Amino acid sequence: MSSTLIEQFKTNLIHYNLWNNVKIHNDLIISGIPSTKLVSTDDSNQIEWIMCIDKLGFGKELSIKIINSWFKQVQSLNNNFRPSRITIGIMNDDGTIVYYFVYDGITKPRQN
Amino acid sequence: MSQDELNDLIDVEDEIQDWKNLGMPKRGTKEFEPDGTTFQLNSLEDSRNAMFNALGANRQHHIKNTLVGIWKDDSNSCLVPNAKGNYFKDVGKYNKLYNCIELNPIETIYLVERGSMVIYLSDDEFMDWLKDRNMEFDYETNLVALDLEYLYALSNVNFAKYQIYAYLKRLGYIIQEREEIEQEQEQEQEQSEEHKQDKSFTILPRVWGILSYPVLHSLQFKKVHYFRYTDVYKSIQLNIPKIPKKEPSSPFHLTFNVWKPTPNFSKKSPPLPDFQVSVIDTSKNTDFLKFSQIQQLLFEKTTSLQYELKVKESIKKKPKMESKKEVRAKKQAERQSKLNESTRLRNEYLKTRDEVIKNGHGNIVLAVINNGIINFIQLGIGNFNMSQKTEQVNRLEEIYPGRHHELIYNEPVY
Amino acid sequence: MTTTNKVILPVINIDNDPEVLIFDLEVIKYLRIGLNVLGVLTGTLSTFPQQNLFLSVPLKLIIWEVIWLTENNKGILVDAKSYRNDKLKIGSVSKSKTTNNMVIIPSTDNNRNEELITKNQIDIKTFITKYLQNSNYTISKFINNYKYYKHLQNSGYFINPGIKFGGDLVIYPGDPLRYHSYSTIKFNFCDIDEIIVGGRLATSVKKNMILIGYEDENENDKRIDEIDDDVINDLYRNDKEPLTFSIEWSGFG
Repeated sequence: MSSTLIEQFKTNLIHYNLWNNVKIHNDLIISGIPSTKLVSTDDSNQIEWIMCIDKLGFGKELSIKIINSWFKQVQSLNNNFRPSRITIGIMNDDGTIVYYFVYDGITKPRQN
Repeated sequence: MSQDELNDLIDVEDEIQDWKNLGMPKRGTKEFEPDGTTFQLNSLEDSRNAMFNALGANRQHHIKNTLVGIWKDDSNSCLVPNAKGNYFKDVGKYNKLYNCIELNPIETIYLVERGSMVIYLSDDEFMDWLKDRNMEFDYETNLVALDLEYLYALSNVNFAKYQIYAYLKRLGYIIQEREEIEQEQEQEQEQSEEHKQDKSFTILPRVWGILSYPVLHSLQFKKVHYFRYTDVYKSIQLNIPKIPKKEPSSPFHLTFNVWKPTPNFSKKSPPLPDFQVSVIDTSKNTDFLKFSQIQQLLFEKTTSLQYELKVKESIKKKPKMESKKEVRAKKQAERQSKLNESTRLRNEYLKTRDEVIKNGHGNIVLAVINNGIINFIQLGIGNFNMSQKTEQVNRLEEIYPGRHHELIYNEPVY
Repeated sequence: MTTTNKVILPVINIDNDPEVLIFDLEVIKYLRIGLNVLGVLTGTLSTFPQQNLFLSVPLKLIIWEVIWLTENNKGILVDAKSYRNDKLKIGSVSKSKTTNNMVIIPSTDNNRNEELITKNQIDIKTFITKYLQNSNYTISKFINNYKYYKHLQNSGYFINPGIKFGGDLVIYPGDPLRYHSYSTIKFNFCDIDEIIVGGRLATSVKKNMILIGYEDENENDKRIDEIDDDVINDLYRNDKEPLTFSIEWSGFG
């Protein structure tokens, strides 16, 4: 029996990206802690919240309303604290997963 | 503008250029963010000054080349009593009544904006003088000189059209507005063409295949033996009929005929245009064209295809400056000539076939302008089944006669 | 309110697809340096007339810039044709100059006539109504889009149309002459595909994508026939800031 979408994300985070404390909260949201900090301006590696999306099933449009609802959902799971960023994980039709940060508000692009 | 020419420009055009690089536009010399340092502030001031100095430069021409235009408000046009210089090779029309060249608003603004023509407001005295033209007319004393702003204001110019016109003109293209009459004539011709087409052909969905045997024939649905891939592909070819025109009117029309620069251009009997351009302003209307509107646009062009079947009469002289593309083509041709004949022919065949498939036929250019920013899109009719016998398709038949050129896979014939 | 401290915003073609085109270099400088308003240059540069990278005066203002300048009392819309014709009647004209054997065509005249400016003023309602004649905008979409622009402009960013980068707008932390753009702005939503393709990487600095919008959609889906005072009040009202989210590749995975 094949695993559900969200379980595939969990596997990817644990075994491919080497995250710790990976926890499935519902059909949409996973949290976990990466082994090193993801962004140089972070203080240290911290808990990250992943919205798990199947590209084909999701539909085309990503709207303000949808993203804001995600932030609110995470806030309710996170001691009523709204995070400064969440992550969208998008699974393509070939099974590969790409991750994108979504910051609350206007931020500067990361300079490499 | 070809894809190659576009690609040459594309990297540099993406960046807002620093006016210090006016002679040689560069990439990647900017900063990430303001840091309040004096260095950055001075740098910014330098760039701004470079830009403002350039913007403040005079629009001018030498007094010995003085070219005068007279703006007639009632006809919304400009008269040029002493038309001289190369500009009028493709610009302007002869006005019999006044015996001089007459320019439309777009042409007028173009010439004045680049500094090549000075323009005055017409009055009765001037119009009288125009009939006899005794003596010189002293424009400066008698008439009001128009600055660029006043000219734009009086002209009621269609700004989107003007921007496309000026963009192409700056690059050296020859460009003329298509007449309304031309459009109607072509539509009439097109409609009479359609009546002639054999519609019964469209009933068969495939060239071969399931209906190749009449219904209830004993051999139908039985296996057909195929010994070559070519026959397999032939049997599954679709026969897609031309979709009939429905929408009678559309706001989109072909706006301009455009020619690549050629020294022998004749205004009165111009050759077939190299490009036909439709100007589309998407600043406040973001709906892309409906299918019927695209069709309509393409049909405006289609009839001129009839000319493609005739042999071209004159051979254009090559302009002196060879573009990078032409240099590359020359080198390619040199390399090709060193190969033996059959390889050369095969290469030409494959290249031509690629072009037919890639470009289709009946191509028009959409000049999409959005808040002052222009993008060009080529739109055409697919010719995948090569039913439209263009010059290129005929060439394919010349090289390998009898072959199914539309089938990409063909067993080697020779 | 007097007109003297407001710059003239000349309107060309008020009856049919009106445009605000600025020919006065001092106004262009003031808009850029004093107000962070960039516009788009559209005229042939007479010193280099055979290229399209560097263009000159006139400067075209985009509709949001026009509204913002009017709302903030920085500019006044004037019917260019009737204003200039009125000036002609009172004998105020520019002469074509000749210096150093060159015949010069000026871009504009520099004489403000406050009385005639007031006489030929165009109300913002009229301008917007005429501007939207050939458009497919609904009232709510138009108002919302202006508010998105206003939010960014008031936050101090320099703003250009975004079409080159597949967005509605593009913003810069400083003057685009010296600073790379930070972000492509998209109004209300984007496609999942657009995120994955990841925007333009033409420069050494990666851009991010910023979504800006309101959570609850306005119900007013009417096409615009006429702009009345209610619409202008809606347009100028500062009740709710739009939400913003910034999207960029995470760097892992």
